[in-house]
Amino acid sequence: MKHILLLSIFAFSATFVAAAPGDADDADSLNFESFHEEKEGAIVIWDADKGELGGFTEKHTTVTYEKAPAEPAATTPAASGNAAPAVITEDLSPNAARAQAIAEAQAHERRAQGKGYDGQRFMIRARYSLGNNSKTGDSVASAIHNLHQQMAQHCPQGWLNIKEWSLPVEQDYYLHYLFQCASASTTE
Amino acid sequence: MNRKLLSIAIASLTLAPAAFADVTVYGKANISFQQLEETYTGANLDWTSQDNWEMLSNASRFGIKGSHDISDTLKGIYKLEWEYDTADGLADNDELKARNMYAGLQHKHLGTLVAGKHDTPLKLAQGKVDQFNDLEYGDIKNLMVGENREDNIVMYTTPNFGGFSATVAFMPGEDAGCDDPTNPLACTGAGQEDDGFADQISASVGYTMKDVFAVTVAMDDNVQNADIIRAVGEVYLGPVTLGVLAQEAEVHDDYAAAGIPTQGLGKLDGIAKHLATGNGAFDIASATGVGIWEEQSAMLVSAAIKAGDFTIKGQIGKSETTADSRIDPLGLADFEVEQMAFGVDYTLSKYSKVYAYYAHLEANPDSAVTKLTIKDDEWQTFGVGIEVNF
Repeated sequence: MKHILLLSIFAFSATFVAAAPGDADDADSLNFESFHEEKEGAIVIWDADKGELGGFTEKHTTVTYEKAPAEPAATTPAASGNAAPAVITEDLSPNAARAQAIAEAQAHERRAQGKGYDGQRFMIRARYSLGNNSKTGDSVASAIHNLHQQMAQHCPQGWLNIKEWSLPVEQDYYLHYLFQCASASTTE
Repeated sequence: MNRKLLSIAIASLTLAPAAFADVTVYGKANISFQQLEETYTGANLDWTSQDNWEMLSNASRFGIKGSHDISDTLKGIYKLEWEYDTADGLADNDELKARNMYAGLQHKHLGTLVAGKHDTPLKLAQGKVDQFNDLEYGDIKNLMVGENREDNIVMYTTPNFGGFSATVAFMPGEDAGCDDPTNPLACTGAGQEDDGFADQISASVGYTMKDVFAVTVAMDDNVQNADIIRAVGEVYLGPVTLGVLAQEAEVHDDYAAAGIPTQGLGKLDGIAKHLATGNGAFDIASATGVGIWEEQSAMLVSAAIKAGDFTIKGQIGKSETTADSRIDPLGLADFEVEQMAFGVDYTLSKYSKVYAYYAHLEANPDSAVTKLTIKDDEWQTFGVGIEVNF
């Protein structure tokens, strides 16, 4: 038990070794939107989205959500080979524009390096309802279908679903997936 | 075995999601080693009250912040921030000193509403014009009034409309507002007038064209007993940033009429007192009974040039403060303050920098009569320091 405790403490404290960007200057401004954006590398003690203690905002995870279930994909990754998949951001989060910018920058960099999206992590979500009093008519099944469509778009070579979780929003829920694209060598 | 332990350890760190809002830690440590000097020049006697080296913590701070989705467009937000003293472990004789802290709501289309303790919109209108913010003798709080962090503040900020944004804040005065016929004196006069919903107001409106320029106009009404108008402009010319700040301030009418001793002069209170008691030969306050400032005009010009990892910067400023002419018709207690600072930052990484700077502050009495005994009061410092953000 003592070992487990020590390991837990170590795992928790170890996340504080790396440097993280500062919000200190941002805090002394009237730009509340910018200040409350989740920034890469921030020291997160409690992540409500993931339901986790400790850690940093993952630098290589792109948070991107679907705009609308019926909206067609901007590209067809399977047909475009190693080309970066389009990042479809929903209009629900102030982070969306930032996430898109990050994703596009990453895509540009990876293309410049001759790489695809191998190993890239994404976090996506879809809203679903369990009852009648909701803003969406999507069921759990349609939400899962949606998310899998997105994963297929992002990772034409396949993916590893790292984690899934749900969070309540009004009378509905968001189903979140955190996943990592498989590399070509993995699938061969 | 190790894998099992690791799994359990990770599992132990994973709790039920959405039990709380996010908790993110941020802050910075800024510490400098400085040579400090303070001298008075009198008619017949010069006086050095300080000439030493000190290690200073320059508004080092840490905070926690977070948010929690309430709906698609609305979230609850909070921030709690404290100052600590990296050099001595103390800030203003306390272990921690409260800085900005609030709870509020942020709507994607309607803006942000917070309540708590916070810098006023007028203070924050300075943007980055003050190139030596938080540094000894370099901060503009040594030069002008209006650098206030207020308790009991309710503040609303609009979303950014194509570069335009505005903020308005109000504070109840929290005077008792008593009504006691048996002891009417206890319920009248200064200290009993501000018992309303919004006795103090601070507001700002600004426009920013990214990477080109930013302008902001701000006002205070009865904040720390002062009415202030402040205008700020910044121009970005590639690696060069130019800034200018001008403001006019006067004591709020209620207090000017009530004849309350000096209030609302902020950091300048100390300068005024130094000037008044300067070399010990002449005490303006004792001689005239004047302790009230009436008006102040202030101006600051700054520039910064980025060259690789170096940023070379400087600023000059001046303020003129007059005493209440009804009490001090000769203006014996009028004084002006001049500030000059320059320095260089060297960026070590995205999160840290080292810097060196020199700042000079000089206060002079305006009155020819007063100048017969007090010439000036000077402060200067040279410092090297490091700032690490997290």
